[in-house]
Amino acid sequence: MIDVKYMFLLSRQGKVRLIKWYDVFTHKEKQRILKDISTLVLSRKAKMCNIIEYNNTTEATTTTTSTVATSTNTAIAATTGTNNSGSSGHKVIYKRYASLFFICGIDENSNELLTLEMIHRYVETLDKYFGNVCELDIIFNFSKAYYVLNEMFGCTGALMESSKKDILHNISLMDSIESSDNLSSVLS
Amino acid sequence: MGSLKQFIKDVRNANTLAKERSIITKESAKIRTQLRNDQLEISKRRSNIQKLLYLYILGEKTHFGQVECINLIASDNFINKRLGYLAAMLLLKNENPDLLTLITNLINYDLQHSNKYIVALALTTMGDLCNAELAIDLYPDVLNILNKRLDEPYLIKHSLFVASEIILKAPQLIIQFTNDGLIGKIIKNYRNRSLRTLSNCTHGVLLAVLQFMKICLLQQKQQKQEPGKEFSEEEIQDFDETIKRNFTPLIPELMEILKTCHTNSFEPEYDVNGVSDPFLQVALLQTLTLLFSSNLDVDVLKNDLQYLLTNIATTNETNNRGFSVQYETVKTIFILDLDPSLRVLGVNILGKFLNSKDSNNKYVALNTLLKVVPIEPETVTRHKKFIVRCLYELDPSIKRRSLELIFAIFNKSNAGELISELIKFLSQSTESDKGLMLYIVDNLLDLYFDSVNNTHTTFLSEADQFIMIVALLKYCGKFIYFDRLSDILLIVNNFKQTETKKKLTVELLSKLINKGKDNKKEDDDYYYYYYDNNYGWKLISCWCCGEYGDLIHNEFLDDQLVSFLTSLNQEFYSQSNMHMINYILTSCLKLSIKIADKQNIEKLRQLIKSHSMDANLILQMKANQFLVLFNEPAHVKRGILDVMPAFSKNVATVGVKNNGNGLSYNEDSVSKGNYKTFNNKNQQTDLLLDLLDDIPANDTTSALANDVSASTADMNGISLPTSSIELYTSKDYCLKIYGNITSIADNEANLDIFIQNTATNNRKGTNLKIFIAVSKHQKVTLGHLSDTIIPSNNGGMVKQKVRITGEGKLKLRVRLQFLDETNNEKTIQFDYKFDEKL
Repeated sequence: MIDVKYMFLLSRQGKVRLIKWYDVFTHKEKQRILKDISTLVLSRKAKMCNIIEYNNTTEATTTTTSTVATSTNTAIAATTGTNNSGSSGHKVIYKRYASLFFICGIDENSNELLTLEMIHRYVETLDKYFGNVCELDIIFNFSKAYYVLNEMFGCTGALMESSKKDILHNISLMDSIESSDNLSSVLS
Repeated sequence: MGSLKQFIKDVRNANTLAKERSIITKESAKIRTQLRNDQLEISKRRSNIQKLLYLYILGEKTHFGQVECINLIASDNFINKRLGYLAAMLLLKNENPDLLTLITNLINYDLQHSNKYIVALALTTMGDLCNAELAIDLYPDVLNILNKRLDEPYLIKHSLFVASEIILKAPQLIIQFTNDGLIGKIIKNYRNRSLRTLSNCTHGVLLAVLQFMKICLLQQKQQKQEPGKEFSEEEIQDFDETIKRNFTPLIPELMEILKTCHTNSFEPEYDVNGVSDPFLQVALLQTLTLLFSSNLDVDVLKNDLQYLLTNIATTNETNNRGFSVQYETVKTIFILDLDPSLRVLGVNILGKFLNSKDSNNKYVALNTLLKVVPIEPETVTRHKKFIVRCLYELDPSIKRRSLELIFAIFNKSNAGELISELIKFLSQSTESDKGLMLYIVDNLLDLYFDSVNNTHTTFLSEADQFIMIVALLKYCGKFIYFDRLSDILLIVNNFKQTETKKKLTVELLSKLINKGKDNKKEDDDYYYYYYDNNYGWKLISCWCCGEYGDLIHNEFLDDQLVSFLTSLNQEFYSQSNMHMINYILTSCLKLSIKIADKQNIEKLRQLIKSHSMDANLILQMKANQFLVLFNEPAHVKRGILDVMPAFSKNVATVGVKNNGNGLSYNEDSVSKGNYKTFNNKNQQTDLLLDLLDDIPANDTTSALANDVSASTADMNGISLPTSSIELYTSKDYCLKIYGNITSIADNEANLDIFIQNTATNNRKGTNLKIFIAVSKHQKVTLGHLSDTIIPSNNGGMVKQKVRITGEGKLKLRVRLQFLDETNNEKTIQFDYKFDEKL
């Protein structure tokens, strides 16, 4: 039911720059997803499409040293496969902007093309907020990047606000409250 | 202790991983000690939390700082609250529920704050950390905001998102949130507003309303699918009733919004490449889809929707933008199964996607077309030109999808054309496409067998079959699995016209026999590339040589045929490939009655004889038996070595072809096709197949042995071969597990695992799953599992086929998972080491 299950920003060296989980995952699942997706995304060639089908079980057979293959009766797989929404197969949408990969894990039935546009929206908003954003801006001001993210996406991982102007307006208001707070604490 | 900036710089400047680690652990330790200090300045506390957040992003442990977030939230300063809430929503997500009770009061307090930003922060954090208890504790506050602060769009959108999260965690609250037409009130309020004063209001509220409705409808659907699990029938009916009453009147309103949004002229704020707010349009479409598909008696409105969708689909048909909205429109059309004319329109839009430059569009189009094929086969087939073109995309997943689609649209009229397209693709493929090539092989063969099984004739003409087989062998012969090769032999054997058989034999043999005839350099390269290592080509040639040696007298000399077999024998004996040698022996025997020249016949006899002392027992046995046969009088031989009759293949596995979306990347689907179990009743064909398959003789003998001692045979037709070994006995569950190696060749072993339940008190296991792991240098593929239920009282056995490739000792780690009679999950795990080696 959750559209965007997680979102993270990855540098070309494979370092995570920002990360947010919307769906529920165990610690182990998170680590596995990060590891698998990072290698997958970094190994993609430029002309490939921005959509990857990610399946926890199939990845396991290629990445772990001792190979484990599962076999379930097809009928059972069909019934159990649907209600296990959290960790089983999902799609990964990624897009590279300069040195950063923006990566989203989305539900099988979500709109892949729209997710790409959402990522683009986020990048545009960051760009406007920081003024020609670059990786360093996000590294050193990750909390600001989070603030923008939280204004744009709701807690269920769907887009909350499509107006850039509105997001930036609210963020700047909050920033000014923050600085006046700072000022008053200095003065007192 | 330095600032956050300094810390980040230090981490970035570390030139080795070890150095980075030491910086991080040192800083973590420092933060830990500082956290114990109650007198710490608030600015220092902030800096600590920021560092913790940085550690969180790096994937380090941050649990020790969880309480500190709460301290920051408790502060009155906005700057502290903002950071504290941010830290809480990241660090506390899915963590200890006890900590949440600490934070509940703080959130509760802040939800009533006069500053809307503080309320919003509390709301966002609540949404992120929400669990069922938190939802039940705090929902009245959220409801309160929705009712009382209706004029503040910023708060309304945040509250609605939290409301969605609450309903995800505590579905019973649907009623509280949807009653009194609250949602309708919000929509009305903001629609009018957005029409009059654009200044203060954005699409945010609408997006939030739609998200909320979507979650409600999805929850309702899910609860309906699993009645009695969490809620009683009445409760679910109550949900239905409330949703119906409150949501149905909103449908015309939503359609109206979609219409205005779609036709709206340029609005820079929401514009994405000339489309006005695709996010809102898609959200509207998704919500409408859910509303129409959840049985709300809204058929009256369906016509309006169709009209609206036609409008959207046609206005966008010509331009190349707003793909995401068009894509969603198509999805809606097919989920709701709308009018045929709309469906055609939908398929055509996808066709346009295929023709666009963007590979993402191609991917989604192929993916959707695959789902749509069963509904609109003809319309999809019209786009086959573009589908075929996608084979040459760079992206492997696009290639894969287009292949799947090609096989999905295969029919009588386009078979020849599509086969030639596939062959063209194969001719341009390289080793890196091995998976795809094998996929083509499997599907083409399955196509043949499926059509034969269903109608007793195939729609592939014999000429097509001929072309297909030659191409498959030429381009993929190196990779095809044994079982698939024997399928090809079956097709060859079943050719109706002797002429085709002859043509094929000549085609195959001429490439191998006439090599180096005219020593051209490029011919040589060609030969080495396609035929030198081509196991499949050689194996089929060898078989044809024996089987149809009499048909090709005019093309080849007896000398050539015999020396061909001799050289083949040398080549594969040095590689100790016993599988091939088996075929060579049979071919020698068969050829011996088809040629006249005494000298050559003697050569064949010598060849067979050379194996009569073979170290491999099976070969030795076979060679000796053949020598006996060889010396029989001609008429006896002729009778035994007569041409194979045409026979059919029993396909026991169901659903190999029809699992459309299950065509995953791993080789699972490939292997599924490989393990066709043969029905024992058909002993006649079975034996023939065994001969053909060349599963070493012990299989046939064991099958026979089992027929005699039927005691081990059980009800579901699975019997324990006499050669099987007991791998493990579980006293707790009364399970016995046996293993039987059916074949072992270099780098590949096939074995069966049998599970028997000796319990006498009706304790049966259900939902059985088998997991098998092998050592690093090997790869395991699990084939067909005969059943997921282990019957009790020795009532039958479950059989799992396993194929192991690689090298080294044969060692297994097996894990069985099943549900016992009380539906508790049980697991058995054990290791077993076979004496055999790969």
